[in-house]
Amino acid sequence: MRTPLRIGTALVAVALMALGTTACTTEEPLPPLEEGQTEITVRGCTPQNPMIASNTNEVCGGNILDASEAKLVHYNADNAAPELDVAESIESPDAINWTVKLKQGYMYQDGTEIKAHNFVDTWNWAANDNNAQMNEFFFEMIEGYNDVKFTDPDCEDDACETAAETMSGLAVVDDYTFTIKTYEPTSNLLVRLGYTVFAPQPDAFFADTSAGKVEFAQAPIAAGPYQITSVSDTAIVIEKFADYSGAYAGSVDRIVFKIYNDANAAYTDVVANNLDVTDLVPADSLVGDVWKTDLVADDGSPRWGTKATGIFQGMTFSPETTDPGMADVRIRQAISMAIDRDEIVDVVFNNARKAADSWGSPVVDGYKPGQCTNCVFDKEKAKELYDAAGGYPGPLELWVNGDGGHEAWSEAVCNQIKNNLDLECVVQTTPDFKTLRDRIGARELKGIMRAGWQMDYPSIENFMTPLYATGASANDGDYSNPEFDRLMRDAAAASTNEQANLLYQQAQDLLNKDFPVMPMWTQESQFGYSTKVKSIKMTPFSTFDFSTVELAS
Amino acid sequence: MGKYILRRLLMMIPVILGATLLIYFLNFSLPGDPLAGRCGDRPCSPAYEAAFRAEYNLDQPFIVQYVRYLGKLLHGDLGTNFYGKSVAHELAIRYPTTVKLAVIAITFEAVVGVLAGILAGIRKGKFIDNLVIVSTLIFISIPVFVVGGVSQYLFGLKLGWFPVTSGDGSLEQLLLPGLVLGSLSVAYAARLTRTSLVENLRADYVRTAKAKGLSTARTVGIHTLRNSLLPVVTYIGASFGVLMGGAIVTERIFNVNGIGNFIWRSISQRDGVSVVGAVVCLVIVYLVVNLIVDILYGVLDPRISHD
Amino acid sequence: MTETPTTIPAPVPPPHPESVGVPYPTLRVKDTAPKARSLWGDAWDIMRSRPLFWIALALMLLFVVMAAFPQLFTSKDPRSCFLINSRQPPSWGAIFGYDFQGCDIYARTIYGARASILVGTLTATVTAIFGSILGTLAAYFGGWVDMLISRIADVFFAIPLLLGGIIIMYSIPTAPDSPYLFVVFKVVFALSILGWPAIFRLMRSSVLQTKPNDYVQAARALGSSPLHVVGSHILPNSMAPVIVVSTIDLGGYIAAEATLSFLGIGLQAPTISWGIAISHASALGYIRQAPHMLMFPAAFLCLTVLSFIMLGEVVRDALDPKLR
Repeated sequence: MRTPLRIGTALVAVALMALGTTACTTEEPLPPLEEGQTEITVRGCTPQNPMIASNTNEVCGGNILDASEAKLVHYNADNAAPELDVAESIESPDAINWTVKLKQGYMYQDGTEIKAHNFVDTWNWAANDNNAQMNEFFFEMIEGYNDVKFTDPDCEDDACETAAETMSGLAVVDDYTFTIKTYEPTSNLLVRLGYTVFAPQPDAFFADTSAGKVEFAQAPIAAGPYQITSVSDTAIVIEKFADYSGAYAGSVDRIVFKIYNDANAAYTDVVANNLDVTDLVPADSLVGDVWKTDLVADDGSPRWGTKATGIFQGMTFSPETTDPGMADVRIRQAISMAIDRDEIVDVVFNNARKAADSWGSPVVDGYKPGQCTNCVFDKEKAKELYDAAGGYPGPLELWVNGDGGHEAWSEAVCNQIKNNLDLECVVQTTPDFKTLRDRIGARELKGIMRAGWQMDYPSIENFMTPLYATGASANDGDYSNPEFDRLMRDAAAASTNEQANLLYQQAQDLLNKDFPVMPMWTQESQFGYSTKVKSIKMTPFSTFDFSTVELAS
Repeated sequence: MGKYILRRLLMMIPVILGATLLIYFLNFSLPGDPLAGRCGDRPCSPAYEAAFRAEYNLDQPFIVQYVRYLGKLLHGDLGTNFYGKSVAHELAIRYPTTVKLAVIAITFEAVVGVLAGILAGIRKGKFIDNLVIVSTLIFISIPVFVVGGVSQYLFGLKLGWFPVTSGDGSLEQLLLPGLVLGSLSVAYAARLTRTSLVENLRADYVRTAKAKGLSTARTVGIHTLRNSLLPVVTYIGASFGVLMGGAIVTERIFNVNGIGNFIWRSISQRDGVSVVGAVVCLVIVYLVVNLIVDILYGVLDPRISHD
Repeated sequence: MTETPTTIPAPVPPPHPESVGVPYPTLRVKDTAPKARSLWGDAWDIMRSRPLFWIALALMLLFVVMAAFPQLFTSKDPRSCFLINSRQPPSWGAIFGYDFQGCDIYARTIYGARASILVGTLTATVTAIFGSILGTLAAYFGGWVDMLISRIADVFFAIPLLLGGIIIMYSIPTAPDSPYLFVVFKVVFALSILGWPAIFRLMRSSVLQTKPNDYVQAARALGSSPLHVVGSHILPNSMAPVIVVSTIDLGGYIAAEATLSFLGIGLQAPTISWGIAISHASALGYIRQAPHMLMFPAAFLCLTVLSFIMLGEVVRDALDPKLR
C-alpha cells in the first residue's frame, strides 16, 4: 500500500511550505517596562508622510507630533487659550512688526538648546517651494513669502526658481530673540504660532542631507514632553522625555499608538479592554447611546467622554454665475429654514454634532451663538419665502465627497428639503474629496455644496477670512462684499481682542443678510478608554492631553 | 516530473507579465488622482503636487512608467510607495500573517468541509444531508462582512471565546478571522465532497467491495474516499484566490495587519505602487500554489502522469 | 462570503484532460436507448418530479417579476422618507419597519430586487456567452489559437475576483450624475472580465470531450462547415455544464455586488439595492439596535441566491447520468 506514504509526503511538503513562509516573522518586541513605569495604548493610524511637521497635515502623524514637539505657544487643553511655552514674550506695537523672545535653556531631546535661528531656519525651509512642503501656506502672512514661491507655479522640472532663498520678514536678533514682519496687520499672530508647523527643528534636522529629510524623520528629535522612540507598521511608541524643559510634562511613561485601519476595530478593542484609549467612536455605536452602555467600568463609572472641537460644517450655495437659480437670497434662506438641524443632529449624529446657529466654532474666542437667524427651522416660513421667490428650477443637487462618511446626513437633508419645500433633491457624491474640491474650484457645481472647515488655530478669524473675504482661497460661493472685507481688515488691525471680536460679529451680521453659506453643525468628539485609565482629557483639537492622564491604581 | 515543472514555470512568465500589465494599466492610466485628499481641506500647493508627481513618475506616459516598473521588478525591486517605504519590505512583514490566516482558513475548510461532505454523502437524502445542503447554501449567500461583523460581536465581545481583534498576529488572535475567512469555502468544499462521494459510491468497484462483504466504513474509508477527494484537493488549491479576495474584508474587520488590509489601504489612497506590488505577489503565490496542487494531484492519483 | 469560487462544485476537470479520461461525464445521446430520447427530455422528466425544482423555480420567478414590476407588490414610494421614523421596528403600517433614513424597508426591499437581479443575471449571461465562445474556439481549433486564448484566460484567472473587482471599480470612477444603468454595467463589467475564464476552462474541456465523438467526426467527414458542426453537434452536447455552473455563479455575483457596495465602491445611493441596504445596516451598532434593517434585505438576498443555486443543482443532478 503506497498511498499513506504518498499522502504523507504531500502533507510534509505543504507543511514545509507553510513553515518556510511563516518562519520569517520579524517584529521586534518592545523592551519591558521598568519597575514602577506606566504605559497606555492609544488608537493610532499609519502616518501618510515622513514625520516632519511642515509635511504632516493628517491626524495619524499629527497626533504623534503634537505630543513630541514644543511650540512657541501652547494651547490650553480645556479652552484652547494660547499660553506661552518656548516663548518668553511675543509682542508688537502695530500688529505688523513682531518681536519674539525665547526662554533660555529650553532643551531638545538630543541635548542641544533651542535658539532663535532654529525658528527662522525652520520656517524659511518649510515655506520654500524647493522643499515642496504641504503646509507651506501657514507662513503666507510673513513678509517675503511670495518670494520663496516658484515664479512660474506650473514649472517644468528644471525651470523651477524662486526669487529669494529666505523670507525677508524674518530676522535673528540674538540667540534668544528674533523678529517677524507680516504683510498685513495680523493681531492674532500669537494664537497662530501654536500650531505644530511652527515648531522649531534642531540643528540635526538641517544636517540631514537626505532628500525630504527622510532620515531625520525616522527618529525625529524635538523638544516636547515625549520622544518618538520607535516607528513600525503596527505601532508607534513615544516615551516620556526625562529632561523636558516646559511646563506640560507627560504623566505616563510610555504611550504606544497601536495602528488600526478601521476605527470600529479600535472601538471594539477598547470595549474589551484590549486598548486603553480611542479617539473615535463609530457612528453606528452612537445610535441609541449604545456606546455609553458599552463603556462602563465595573464600578459603574463611565469610560467615555465628549469634547467640543473646532470643526464647522456648512453648505455653500452655488455662486450666481454658475447657478442663476440661487441668485435670490430668499431661495437660499428658504432652503436653510427647511432643514431641521436638531432632528438630524439627534437622529443621524446621535448628538455627536451640535446644530449650528452661527458661523465658527464654540471653542474659539469671539464666537457668538444665535448669529444665524436663517438657521432656525420653520417650514411654513420657508415654503412662503420659497414660493414668493418663484421657486428653484429643480432638482436641487446636494454635493458631498464620498470618502468622508457624509452619506447619511446628506440624504437626510435632501429628504427634508424634499418633504418641506416640495423641491426634488438629489445627493451627488464625488468619489473623493479632491474631486469635490476640483469641481468646486472650477465652479462647475450647481445647487449646494458641503463646506467643512477645521480650524488651523483657535481664532474666530480663521473661520471667516479664508472663507468669505473677496477672492479668498476657500470662498466657494464667490461671496464679495466690500463692507465685509473692510471689517476683516479693521479687525485684524484692532488693538484689543474684544474690539476685534466685535468687528467679526458685525461681519457675521452681513453673512446672515447676504447668506452665501448656511451653517449646519459644529462637532463634538467622542472618546472612550479602558478600565486601566481613570481619567483622560481631550483637547479642542481632538487630541489627548497626555500631561493630565490618570491611571487607575 | 522535472520537465513538467519547468514547463509549467515557463508558462507562468507570460501570465505574470500579463497580470502586471493589466493591474498597472488599471491603476495608473485610468482616472483617479493619487493626490486626492492628501492635503486635507485645502488643495495641495502646486510645488508639492509637482514634486510628488515627479517622484512617482506620474508625469510620464503610461508605457514609460510601465517599462520602468518592469525594469525594477526584474531586480526584485517593487518600488517605494507613497509613504516612502519599500513595498517589498512592507509585503515581507505582512506576508506571514496572511499566510497564517490562509492556513487556518484552509485547514478549517479541508477538515470541516470534507467531514460534513462525507456525512452528507453517506446519508444522501436523509436529514443530515439536507441540513448540510441548506446550511452551506446559507453560508454561500450571506456576504462575508455580515458573517465577520456578527461573529466578532458574538464570539469575541459577548461570549469572549476569541480575542476581539488581532494586534500582533499570533495564532490565537487569527483563529476567529481565519474561521470567518474559511466559512464560504467550507460550504463549497462540503458540497463538492458530497457530490463526488455520491458519484463514487455508485461505481462498480464499490459495489464489488460491498458484495465481497466489506463494511460500509471500510468501503467508504479505503475505496471511495481517496478517489472522491481528488476534485476537493483541486478546489482547495483554487480557493486560495477566493481567500485572498476575502482577506481584504476579513482583515479589515479584525484589524489583521496582513496583505489584505495593506491592499485595501493602498487602493483607497490610490497608492498604485503598493497595489501593483501586492497584487503581483499574490498572483505569483496563487500560480505557485496551483502548481503544487497539480503536482499533488499526480501524487494522489496514480493515473495522472506528469512525465 | 461572497466570492464565486473559481472552480465550482461541478466535477472538476483534471489538470490535463487530454492525458486522462475522467471526471466530467460526457453528455452524449444514449444510442442504447430503445426510444430515441433527447438528453434534455430525460432531464425534464427528472426535474419535474422533484419538489425542490418547483420551489426554486417559483422563488426565482417571484424575484424576477419583483425586479421587473415592483409596483405590483407595493404602492408605497421607496424614496419617501421621514427621519422621524428612523429605525422604527416592524409594525402594521410598515411590515418590515423603517430604515435609518426613515424609509419603508418593505418598499425599498421590493424595489431593490432590480439592481441585484440585473447584476446577477447580466454577469452570469455575459460570462457564459463570452466564456463559451472562447472555450469552443480554443477547443475546436486547438494549436496556437488555443494557446493564445488559454494564456489570456490564465492572466485573468490568476487575479482573484473580489480583489480585481475592487481595483476595476476604483479605476473607473463614476461621475455622480451618471445614469443608474451605467453603474450597473460597470459592476457587471468588473465581475465579468474576471469571471469568464472559469467558464472558458469548463467549456474548453467539455468541447474537447465532445469533439472525438463519432457523430462529430462523421459530420466533419461529410464536409459540414465548422459553424454547422459546432452549432448542431458540439454545442448542444457540451453546453450543459456551463449552464449549470452559470446558474450557481449567478448567486455568487449578487453576493459579490453586495460586498462591493459594503466597501463603498459598488452601486451607490440614490440607487436602491439590497447590497446598499445590507452594507448600510451591517455596522455593529445597527445590528444590535435595529436588526430588522439588515434582516429583511439580507433574507431576500439569501433567498434569491438560494433559488438560483438550487435550480442549478437540480439541473445538474438531472443532467448527470451518474447521479440518477
